[in-house]
Amino acid sequence: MKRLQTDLFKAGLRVFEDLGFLLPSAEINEEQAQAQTQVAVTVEFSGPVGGMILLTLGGPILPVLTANMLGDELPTTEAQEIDALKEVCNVICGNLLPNLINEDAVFDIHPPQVRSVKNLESFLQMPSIHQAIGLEEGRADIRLFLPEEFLKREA
Amino acid sequence: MALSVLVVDDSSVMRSIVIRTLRMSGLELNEVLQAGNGKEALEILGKTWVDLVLLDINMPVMNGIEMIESIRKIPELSDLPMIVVSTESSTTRIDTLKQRGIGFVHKPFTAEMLRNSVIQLTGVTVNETTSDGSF
Repeated sequence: MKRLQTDLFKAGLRVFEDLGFLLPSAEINEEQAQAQTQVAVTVEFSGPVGGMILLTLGGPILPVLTANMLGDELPTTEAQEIDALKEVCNVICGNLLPNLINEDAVFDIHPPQVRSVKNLESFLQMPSIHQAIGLEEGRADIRLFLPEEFLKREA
Repeated sequence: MALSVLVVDDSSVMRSIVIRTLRMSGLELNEVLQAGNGKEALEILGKTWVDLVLLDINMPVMNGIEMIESIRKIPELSDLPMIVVSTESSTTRIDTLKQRGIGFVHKPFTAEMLRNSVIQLTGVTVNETTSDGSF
């Protein structure tokens, strides 16, 4: 579990730094810890092992992330923000997958789906590998869902 | 030589990032066109000449692989330089693309990565006075 959690952190770190021009950190401060979840998106993948990544963002970080990605000033539109959120989750998934089996393994990444924040409970009750990342005044939570037998093997 | 480029990605944010990165890379650009999927891209290519296509793989309607196969079947476009800009990480798939003469840039990317791939595939030179060399 530790290895994949580290891989999840590295994938998130790289994407928020290189794509979002933010300064992510593994340590979560008080403000970040209390940030309420604002948006959620999932990306499913299939291949030698199937699974899903759930990315949630807490606090006022999505408009900043979107503006940074676009190289624009705030405000950004809701459509741009949703597009940016989907793309970030998609790229995190693509950067994580080579670590699941090996670099030769062929996976199909399915289109990202925006999820209602009110209906996340069912996901949060499922076993997953979780990594929180501090982002300025907000927080990203990345959860990797894999078949139970795969999670047990990795534990 | 100033390049006319077609950027194909279903994410408008990612298209903006690719175009901005191209402009920052020091490459001399002419017209920059955009399409949201392979079908739209083929329609543009039927009407407008471009020197280079940058495309994603995972797109609705017509994905990048289908688009590449369609382009290679069109005699006037069969040699068109194409670079896949994708989250794809499988070396099996990336090697298959490279064997077919397709460039590959992994997301997230830097201006340098994109510039090097364009130079390698098209042979264009960089306008050093506008290149900042980094992103």
